Amino acid sequence: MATLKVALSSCGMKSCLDKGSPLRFPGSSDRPLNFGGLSRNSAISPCLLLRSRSARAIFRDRYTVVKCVAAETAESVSETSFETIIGLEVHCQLNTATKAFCNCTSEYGATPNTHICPVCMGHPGTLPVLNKEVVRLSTMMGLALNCDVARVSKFDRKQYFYPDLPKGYQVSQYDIPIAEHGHITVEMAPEFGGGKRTIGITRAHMEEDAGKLSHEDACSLVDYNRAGVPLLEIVSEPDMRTGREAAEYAAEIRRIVRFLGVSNGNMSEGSMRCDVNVSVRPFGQEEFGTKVEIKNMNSFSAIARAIDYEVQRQTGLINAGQGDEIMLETRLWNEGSLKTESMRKKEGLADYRYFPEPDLGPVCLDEEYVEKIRMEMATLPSQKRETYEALGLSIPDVLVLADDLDISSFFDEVLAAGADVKQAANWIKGDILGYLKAEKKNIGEVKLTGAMLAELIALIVDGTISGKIGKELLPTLMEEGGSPKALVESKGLVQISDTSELEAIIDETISSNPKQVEQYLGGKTKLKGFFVGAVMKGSGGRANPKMVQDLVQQKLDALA
Amino acid sequence: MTSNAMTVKLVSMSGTRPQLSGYQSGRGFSQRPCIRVSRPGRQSSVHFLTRAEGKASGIDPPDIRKLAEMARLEVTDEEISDWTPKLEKITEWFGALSDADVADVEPALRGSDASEGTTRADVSQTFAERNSILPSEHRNGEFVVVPKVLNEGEQ
Repeated sequence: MATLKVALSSCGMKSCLDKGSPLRFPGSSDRPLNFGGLSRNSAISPCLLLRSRSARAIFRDRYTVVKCVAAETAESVSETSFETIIGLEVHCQLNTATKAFCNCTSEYGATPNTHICPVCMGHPGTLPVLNKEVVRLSTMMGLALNCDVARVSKFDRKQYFYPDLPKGYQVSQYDIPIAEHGHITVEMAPEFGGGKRTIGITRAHMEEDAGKLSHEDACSLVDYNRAGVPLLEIVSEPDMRTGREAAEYAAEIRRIVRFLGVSNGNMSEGSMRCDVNVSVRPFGQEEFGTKVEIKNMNSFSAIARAIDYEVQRQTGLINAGQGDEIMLETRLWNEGSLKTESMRKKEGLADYRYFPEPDLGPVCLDEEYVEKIRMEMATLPSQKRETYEALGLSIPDVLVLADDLDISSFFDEVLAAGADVKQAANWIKGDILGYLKAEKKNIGEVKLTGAMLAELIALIVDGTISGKIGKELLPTLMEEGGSPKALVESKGLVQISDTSELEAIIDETISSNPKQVEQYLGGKTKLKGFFVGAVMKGSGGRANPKMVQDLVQQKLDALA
Repeated sequence: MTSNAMTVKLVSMSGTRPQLSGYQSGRGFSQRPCIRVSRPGRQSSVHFLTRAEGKASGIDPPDIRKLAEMARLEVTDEEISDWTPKLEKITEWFGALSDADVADVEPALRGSDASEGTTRADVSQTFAERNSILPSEHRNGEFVVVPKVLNEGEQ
């Protein structure tokens, strides 16, 4: 339902008007002013909605409408005069066996402070040695993001003090990153407007992670297992305009890293972290508004919600004439209260005193190396979507099937075994994903293979079993596997399509239900369904439904 | 976080051309400092700024109080007033370097040219003596206890 927010300057009152609710103005008589039905997406002055001419005159006389905003409760506030500028920074932990600069394992979830050594603990006299796999995965990701991959790049020291940073500096890449000037294409789901968007990638660079801090009342606790784990930081251009687009961009980055095997992209485990930069500016204005950074979002929907909240907060301040209060700062998203909250405001920008890391040489890639990685790169989600679209599937189907690497691999398997595209898509989208969701499993954990599903679909297509029987067989196949054909035979579920056999059952049904026959002949033609149902039941669900429909109709007509 | 930090400004390098001298092919990638890493229009992270007239070419004297805070060093007011002119002299002296014409020279980022074999395979190895590198005090179970410092870190 549309909500109309009206800012009334002269009485300093802000009110939200629901459809049809009366508004009382302070100081006015007791008679409330009635606002008529509000249309969605309308930015109409409430004055025009007042029913009577005299009421409109009173309104115009006393109040100045400063701003009308029509808000959709489901989507972000659609500001008629503000544009939102959003950029994302995504940190992905790379899928390497060891840390970036030492041989400690980079495995997640171990006992705290067990995967450490003098190098990652920053002990004096130690030297970093670069992990080859870090370069390979970063190069691959740079190519996947359509970036210019620098044939020569270097590491720099980013210096600051913090308890989770053993060396007092983070080894990162400052002015010459491994990848720059890329872009990705994001496909919005139909319920969010649909269509493709191209989002620019400013840069992607290699760096190392810091330890993990947890805060107690009077102190903090550090686990250095994570210190030195390799990260790829991907910075987008400020090309996104809504929270939804930003969430979809983050989802696409996750899809890419998972399809390529570059990272787990697990936001809850911390192997993928997103920071958002949001600012607003009036439409038509060239310069950007003040940028606010938001951290601490654990899911894609949290990203969308945090951005929507922050946009509301900023436009609210600007509308109230308090635009100066929007400061260049970092805010934390609070999932409980659904608000962004300020951290202590920093005075000025941080000075990291970057200088080139003297303990590491430049990273030089030759053309053969880059080409080899490009050739060996797995299929990208966007390429997968194109392939599926070309098969004739609808966009919603394409988005579901190409969302997850395991599901799309399974779908490819089913097609390779010869199944019909649309049937396979429907089975996976519907019954299979439904089962996996209910059982909280993923496709790798069930016994059903692509070939099995193809066989099942073939049995339905050639009439051996009905679709309904197929659905009944699915859980067994999921849990135990095996051949669908053998299962059908062992359970005796082969569909009855023999006319004489069906007629026998129908005759029996008709003769044992004389009352319903009488009612049917008397005019209750709807009772045909009763007969069909009874026949199906009598055959143990095995009768060919279409044939039953036709034969029952024939028999009943013959009786008339 | 992409940096909007300002590095210590020394002398600016203008118009450096990219010079990618041959790097070893067929080796995948190497750690040799074989490539000059500057590009046109790009300042490397250590760069020099020519000083305004009125002073011999040199660099801005550092703000000692600010530097000390960033380096976590305690300095008294006397030390600041004592050190400022001395440091100014030192930075001015370094500033003499800006008289050199370095337009065609890439910055020397490392002391040595020989840095072969400074990459390693992605194979894990456990460091056996981890207890020797963890503090014996300031522990809480397996965790290390540190002072609670909020809002000053990054990432």
